[in-house]
Amino acid sequence: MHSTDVAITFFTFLTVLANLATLGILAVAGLARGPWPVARRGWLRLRRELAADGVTIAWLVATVCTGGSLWFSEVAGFVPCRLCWVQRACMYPLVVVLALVGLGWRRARPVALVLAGCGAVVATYHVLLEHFPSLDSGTCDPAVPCTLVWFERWGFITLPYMALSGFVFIITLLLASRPSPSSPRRLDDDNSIDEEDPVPPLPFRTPSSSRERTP
Amino acid sequence: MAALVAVIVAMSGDDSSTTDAEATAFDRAEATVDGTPLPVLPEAGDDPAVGRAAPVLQGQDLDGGQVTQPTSGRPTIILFLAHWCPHCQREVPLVQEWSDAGQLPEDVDLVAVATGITSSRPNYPPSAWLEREHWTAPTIADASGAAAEAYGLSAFPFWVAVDAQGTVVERRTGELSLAEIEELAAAATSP
Repeated sequence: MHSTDVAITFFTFLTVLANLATLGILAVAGLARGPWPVARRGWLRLRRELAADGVTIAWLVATVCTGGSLWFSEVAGFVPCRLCWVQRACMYPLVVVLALVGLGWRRARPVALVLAGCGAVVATYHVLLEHFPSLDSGTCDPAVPCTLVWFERWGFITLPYMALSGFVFIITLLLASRPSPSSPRRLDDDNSIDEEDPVPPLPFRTPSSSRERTP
Repeated sequence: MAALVAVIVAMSGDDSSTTDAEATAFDRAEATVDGTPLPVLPEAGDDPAVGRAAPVLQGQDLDGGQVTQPTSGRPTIILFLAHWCPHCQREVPLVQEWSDAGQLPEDVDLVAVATGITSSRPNYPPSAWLEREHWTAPTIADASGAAAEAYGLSAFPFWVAVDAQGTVVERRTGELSLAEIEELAAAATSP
């Protein structure tokens, strides 16, 4: 029981992190539409960073969500309901599809967006159902009810909320990292970005990418 | 990183201490069934159990005593509850308030069956939940689920109206409004 509590708290922490990152990206994108040149430069820089690493981060999110989902069902014993299964059917393939996008197979990008979009819609319904159980049949199925709330932290972080956060973060990363028409080569060739990049590298660059930068 | 782990462990400790209550003998007690089991309530169409003899349930009450229901000569409403079901969690205070206000007809018995008892599911144990809700109706513990099966339970909450002759009059699922509960009581008392 105790290890379950630790896992719930750990994934709660990751969920909040994903929420903050999503809001951060959306905030920078929103501010860039304003009259401030700083905001615009910041958004361009963020897009460059995400063009390089966004898909990798999205793949990591899908992998952690898949791992968490399996941990909660197989180790913690939370039996997945009908709606959980639909969300799983969207999240698990994302691990493979996002890996393909990351490896440069661009056609997989819309597939990933559709999967994450479907997952987000079902997760939203599941979250609403947890707060308003009467949205469904008004009863609880005796075997695996979708109305069953396995845990709740801070009044809103539940298992489907975690899934929703993962899907929305993946969608945000995919949209923010999509190749812009002005720089079609950026996604494919990491080096080309840095050669023409007037912005100094950010401190959180991974060691491997800084190594690639040296000629 | 170490600080993060410390925070996580500290938070987990707080949460577990507030949610875990001790299971009592009630939560492990099994009910005995006397009579022919009823068919499962179909989702639509006529209920095949209407007009059949209701199985008699016997089991342990929250206070440790024994409950036998339905008793002959008394119309009875049986309410099957699962501790983890949010609909049941909302129905219980409603019914309790109605009963506290003296709205339960004098000649009708209301009996609850605590079933679907699963220690891994939320709001366990049911004894702690019902105590918290100041539940006063006689309640039969059904740890094995035998009573629910005998009544053909299809979903929670599950309602059964039994008349004075011990015949099933009506079975319903879902959160009922007070008006619907009163209809059920009226159906149980109608000759």
